[in-house]
Amino acid sequence: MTNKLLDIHKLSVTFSTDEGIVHAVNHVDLSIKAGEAIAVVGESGAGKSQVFQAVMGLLTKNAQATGEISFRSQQLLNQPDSVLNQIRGQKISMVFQDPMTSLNPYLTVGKQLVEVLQVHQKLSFKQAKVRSIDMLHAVKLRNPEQCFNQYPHELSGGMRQRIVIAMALLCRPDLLIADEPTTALDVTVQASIMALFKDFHKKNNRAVVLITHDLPLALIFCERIVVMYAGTIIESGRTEDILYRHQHPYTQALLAASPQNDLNASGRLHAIEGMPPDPLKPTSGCAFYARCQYADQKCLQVPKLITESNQHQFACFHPLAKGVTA
Amino acid sequence: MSNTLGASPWQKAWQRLRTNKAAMLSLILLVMISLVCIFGGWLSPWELDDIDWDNMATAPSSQHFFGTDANGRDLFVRTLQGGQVSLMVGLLATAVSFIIGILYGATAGYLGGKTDAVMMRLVDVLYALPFMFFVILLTVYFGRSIWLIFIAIGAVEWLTMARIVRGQTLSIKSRAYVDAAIIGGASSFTIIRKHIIPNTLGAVIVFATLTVPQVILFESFLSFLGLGVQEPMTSWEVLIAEGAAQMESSSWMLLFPAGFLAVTLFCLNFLGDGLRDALDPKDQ
Amino acid sequence: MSLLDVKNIDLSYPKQQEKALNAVSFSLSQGQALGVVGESGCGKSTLVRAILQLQKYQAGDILWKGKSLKLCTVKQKQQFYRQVQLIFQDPLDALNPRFTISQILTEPLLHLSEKKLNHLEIAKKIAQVLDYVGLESKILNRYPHEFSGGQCQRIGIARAMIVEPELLICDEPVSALDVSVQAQIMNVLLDLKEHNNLSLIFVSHDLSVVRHMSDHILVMQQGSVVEQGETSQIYKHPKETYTQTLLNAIVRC
Repeated sequence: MTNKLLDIHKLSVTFSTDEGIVHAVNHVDLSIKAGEAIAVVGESGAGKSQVFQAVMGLLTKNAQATGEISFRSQQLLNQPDSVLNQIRGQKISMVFQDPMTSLNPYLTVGKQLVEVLQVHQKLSFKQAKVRSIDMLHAVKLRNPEQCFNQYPHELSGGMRQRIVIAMALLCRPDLLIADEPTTALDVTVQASIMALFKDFHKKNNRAVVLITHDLPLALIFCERIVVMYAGTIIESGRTEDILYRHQHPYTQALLAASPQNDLNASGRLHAIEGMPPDPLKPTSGCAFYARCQYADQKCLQVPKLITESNQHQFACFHPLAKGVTA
Repeated sequence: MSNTLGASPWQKAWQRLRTNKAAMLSLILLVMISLVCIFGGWLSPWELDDIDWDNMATAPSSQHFFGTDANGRDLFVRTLQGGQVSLMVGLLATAVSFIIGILYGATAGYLGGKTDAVMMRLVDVLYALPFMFFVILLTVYFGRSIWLIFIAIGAVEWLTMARIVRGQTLSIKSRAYVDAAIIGGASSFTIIRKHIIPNTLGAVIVFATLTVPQVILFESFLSFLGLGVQEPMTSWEVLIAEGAAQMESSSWMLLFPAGFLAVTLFCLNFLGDGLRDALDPKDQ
Repeated sequence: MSLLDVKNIDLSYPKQQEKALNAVSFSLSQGQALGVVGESGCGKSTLVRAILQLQKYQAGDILWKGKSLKLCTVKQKQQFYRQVQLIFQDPLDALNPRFTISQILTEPLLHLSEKKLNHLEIAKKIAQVLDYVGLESKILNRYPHEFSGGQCQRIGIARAMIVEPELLICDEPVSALDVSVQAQIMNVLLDLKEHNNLSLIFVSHDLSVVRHMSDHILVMQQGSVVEQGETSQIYKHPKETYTQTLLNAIVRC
């Protein structure tokens, strides 16, 4: 693919901790094209955040990352800050879960926005202020001029998240990574924040990566879904394929577990029983083995990613029948 | 790899401390100095106030390991005894202020409202009192004694401890597990004792190790003013004062007690730093 | 019989002009499951704190089993908290990091039991609640930081259930959890409701979650009750526009 924006090849991330080596990410291959909107979905601990922390050079000191990450054929993995700072905030931006910790409580919103532009694009204060207020308009804040002079604690969670998104978009990055951006927000606010991302994606034809544990949310807003479990990609494909033709039992279970579904015959939700495997003790064989209703002897081997039609890939020895609905 | 299954936050902190070489070395040195001060006197035949008329202000020798002072007293024994006093004052006075300050601060912080306001205003008033005046009054009334030093220092240090613990209490009070304890039927006193105080101890311990050096130096200040321990008892600071006067002619009189004091203070500071890292709330 | 009656509660936090709760009223009968829904800041958590007497209110009355609720003496507190318990929003924050799981589960028994229990009786009760929530006894000597969010919430539920309460108030118990874990915890609560004859108050900002857990719903906005009624009615024929807004927010695929 010649218009590949971000190419991740055989990425593995481990952490050295007091309790042992944590295998967070295992040989992940992922590529993102310019202007694409993809979601990386998985439970806490699936490794999805760590993949993009590796891209942004935000892994902690006790992490070891191997593999290749390239952004428009520029290598990113394990590069020094001087190289990464040209990309971070300018070409690739990241939005995190908790807006309160992303914003400095001692500085006004305006000062923080202006600083981004002064540092990355060397704009004067006046120019930066104009651009910042424009961006606050663009993220649909009601009183941009007033917000500019306010402190983060004076604003609601939803408003703060919009400001963080505005900060991320100021330099018009080619790729925006959003790590659980709506998890800390009310359901009612979620929809409007997701609409902002969709707007940015469509209007400017920029790529967006949504990292989330909420598969239904991902299905509404993204074109392509990547499902991760215990550090590996177990299924990926276009939204319609994941929704109507998913093959991996974990994907099926995730879809069924959503509280928006009705209760089952015994009046209970379709929960996935058990827990993901301990990252300190990586399993041999399929990671989902212990929780899978279809598992058998075959699954003691590690399943390889099979490509079906049109970029739909999954790693399972017992793919579900074709044409299965959620 | 250490097994941290079922490890309490204290055990994890201890494991982290063990990896800090400077802190562990400091801990070992402190223990050694304490042991030497307590038991080392048996190595020497001389008593605290024995006067060796033949050897006044003599340099270190096999008879007098650290030499003698201007009055012919053995410096080795006096240094060790001085260490007992300095360490005891430092550790005990801190411990006493520890206990009073924690109880006072946690209670004020937890009860809040008017009770908190009154209790902390009392602390403010006491802070403002001219402390030296108070100590001199006590000395005049009760005469010089080591217990007076304990009381005087403890009376000042508990105020800061109370403030620190109160601050910690205010943030712990809003944690969900305190509400859970209230709904679990625990009384205010039980909550302060079991939930609040144990979770403030991290900050308190670190502050305590950094207070001990301050206390020791404070005692030296009192000694310098003539309000400290009474002869023939002595402390490192008194010995340093005496040694400083004889510095040019008999440097050993200054070097030995100063050396002991300096090493102790360094160790306490390193240990305090190490404890702060080990008890890092980020991991809790 | 009416278990809990909340009558015209007015609550303002000190130094704040706006009322956090404005003439809030509702009734809960025995065996009923009430969902309280609204956005952040609507007062639903404040309402919970008011019911549990953790926050003082300026006007109105709360009746428990017909009697006005006054928790002045230790005995009154013990009696009430034996019957009404709470599940918290942040599962890890609700557990004292320096207590073992065993200590956490024992604590309510120590303070709320009518008679003093010996070790065997305590162990039996602990085993029973661990069974309810699907946890093994080997967790008892471990500390909260060793567990995931979902496991911590199970421990919180076990702690609340150990005194065998009649009413369980759940304050956003699944908001901090992954979607896949939410279903597990909700199933635990549904099981408890069925087998232990529990009345529930379930607070959430997410109507899709509340729908499964309650037969009646209270919709709150900015401190006031906007609408209340049976769950199916609220879902199919909401009367207020605000309720409709909340319903629209449910992401559907």
